[in-house]
Amino acid sequence: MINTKNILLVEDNPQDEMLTMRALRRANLINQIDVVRDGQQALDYLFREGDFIGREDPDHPAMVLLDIGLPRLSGLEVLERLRSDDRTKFLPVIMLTSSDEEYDRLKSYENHANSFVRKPVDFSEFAETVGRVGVYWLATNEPPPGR
Amino acid sequence: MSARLALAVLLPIVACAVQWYLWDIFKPYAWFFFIPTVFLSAWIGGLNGGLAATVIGALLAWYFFISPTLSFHLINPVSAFSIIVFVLTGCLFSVFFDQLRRSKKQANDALAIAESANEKISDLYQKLKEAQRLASVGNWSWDIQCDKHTWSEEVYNILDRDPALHAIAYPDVQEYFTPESWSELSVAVERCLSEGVSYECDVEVVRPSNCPRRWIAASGEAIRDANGNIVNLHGTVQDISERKRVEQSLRESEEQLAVIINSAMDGVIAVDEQQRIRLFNPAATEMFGLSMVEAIGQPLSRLLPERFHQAHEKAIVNFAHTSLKARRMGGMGENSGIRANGQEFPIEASISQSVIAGKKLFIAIVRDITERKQTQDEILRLNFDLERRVVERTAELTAANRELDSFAYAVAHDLRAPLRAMSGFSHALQEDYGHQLQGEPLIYLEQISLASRKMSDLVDGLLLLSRSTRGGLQYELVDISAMSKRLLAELAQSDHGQHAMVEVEAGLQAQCDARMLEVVMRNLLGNAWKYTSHVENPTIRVYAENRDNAHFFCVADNGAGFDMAHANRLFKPFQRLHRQDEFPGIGIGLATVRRIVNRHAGSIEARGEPGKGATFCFTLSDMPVTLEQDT
Repeated sequence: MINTKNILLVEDNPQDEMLTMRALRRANLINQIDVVRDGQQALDYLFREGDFIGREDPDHPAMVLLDIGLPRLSGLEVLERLRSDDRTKFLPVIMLTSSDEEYDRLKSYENHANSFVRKPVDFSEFAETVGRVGVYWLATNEPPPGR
Repeated sequence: MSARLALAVLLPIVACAVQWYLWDIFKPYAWFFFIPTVFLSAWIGGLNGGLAATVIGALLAWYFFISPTLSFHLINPVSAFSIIVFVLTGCLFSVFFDQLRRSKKQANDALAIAESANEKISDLYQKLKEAQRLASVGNWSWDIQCDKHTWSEEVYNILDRDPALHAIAYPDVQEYFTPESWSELSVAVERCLSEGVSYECDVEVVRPSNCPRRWIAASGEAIRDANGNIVNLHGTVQDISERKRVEQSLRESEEQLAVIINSAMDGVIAVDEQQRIRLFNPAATEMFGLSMVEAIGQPLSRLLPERFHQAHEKAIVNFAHTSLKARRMGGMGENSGIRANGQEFPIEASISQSVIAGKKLFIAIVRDITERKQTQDEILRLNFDLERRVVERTAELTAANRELDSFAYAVAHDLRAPLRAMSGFSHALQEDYGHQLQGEPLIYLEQISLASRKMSDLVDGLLLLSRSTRGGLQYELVDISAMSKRLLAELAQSDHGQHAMVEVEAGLQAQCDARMLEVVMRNLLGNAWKYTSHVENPTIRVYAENRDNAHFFCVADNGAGFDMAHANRLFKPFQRLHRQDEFPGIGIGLATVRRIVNRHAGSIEARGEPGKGATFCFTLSDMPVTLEQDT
């Protein structure tokens, strides 16, 4: 059963955004992909605050692809906030990052990120990775029981 | 005495008998035998014997030989007269001999007295001689009228002159004295001679033999006759060499002491029991700005700021009651002195006590520590400054490091994004519009991909290099043998075309940071793998060797090798000895290896020969931990 809920992509780099979108599409994921461009927007989106008060979709997205190097709030800070909030503590969050800094990886796991994925420079590898991640979290993985 | 008296009484009786017997011959000389008899009796019997013999003789001669014989009747007046003459003669003899005897006795007595006196004198003389010898005192006298000099024996001894010789006259005696002493002595003697002034002076004696010089105390005085003329000089000489020597050494030690005290850098101040200054050396003078004359007799408190007066006085009194010889002054806190101009200054002082000539004396040694205090303050200030600067620099360094970290992070993160875009979009182009492109455009797109991948590798290498100098090292025992085997297996797995012979010595271990060492081994083994890819029987060895007092870990291969002439470029970043088309690479691995080895206080060296292979050996620390030591 394919999860048809939205996917939230938090990415400030438009080129990465385009490439990610392309990769997800080519992985045949039909879900709607919402994109926000910084950490604060991501939180606003998920908690329906600020610009996103009264967001139409009543559910949380099926997964969040969260870049670490973000303006305003970094991806790690966003993750920490999501995990400390009951509403989002089980939300699948996949950290997507250019870096392979140990600190970032450690922090991500400490805050219970569901995955830590390095964005490879090589496009085909990148596309394959994003596609696999998408398929895994949307099709393979069973979400926590709904409340 | 009674025997003499009896004999004197008996003699007239015997004379009477003898004359009776010889009367016919001596008739009519009635007194012939009696006169010598009375003489004898008086001689023998003295006054009493003589008188008794006279009376008995007179009666016997009157009765037996004066007619009428055998009666006491007197017819002839001449006879009576003869009796009277005999008696008078007898009395005269008696008195004469009595006188004679008395005179003799007197003479004998006088003689006895004289003898005993003589003995006493001789005894006294001996004692005097002894006393002079013991005291080294001799006496002399000079009879001016007859110019006669007399010396006692000890004078000879003191001047070391043969006692058999005569005493030397003045002024010939000059030869016994040093010139300085003689000029002093002769002046004194001349005054004594002319004015009768007594003298006493210490003079130095030069003795004829090689005996050491002596000091004597010479004294003299004049004796005048009834007319007041000076007729005699007499006096004494005493050997005072020992006293002089003691005085001299005392003076020397006093002088030494004075020199020490006067030249001392520290103030030396002696104080009596009333805390009045008794000694004040030049250093103290300079320190307190008070001359010695001003200071002596002043209370010690004059040298101290008023707030210390009471405590200080008490401290000295307390100290006096202890049995301590010396102690530091001011015990706990700071001590200060005050100069004559009222300026206070820090001092360091110690005090000692001793009893001199029955009086207690406190001796304070005082040091002006103004300069030291200043130096200490300066040191404190400099230290403080230094610490502050260290803190500043550390902060700067920390900031710089942090900046570097964020720079590296930015490089890692942000440099990759455009690369990914280049690679991604060229790929997208190829995928979406590849069918419209042919020939060169496709190759160009591929070159963009290649370049971005190469750039990505460079970024990764740079990051590794920068990471190898950051962060602390976590030392642990690392099994290098196992690590090498694992890495070689990984290499073999990732490169299906190549099968290298690998030899890994067992039991290689080192105390080091495991992840850092893995970077080192990964690079060295990766290089070995890469550079043996063109040879027929690739062999890679990992082993240890001990030389030059160091324990080396080595990775050797039989690959392409390198020219030792370029060895110094091996470890520099982005420096390569091979072309990309021979062996691809970015030239940053060995630079990273060297940095890591250096951080482990080790060193790395490379040996190689073109076409014959390369060996890289590195040390990690002076004392590698071996298996044996571990178990």
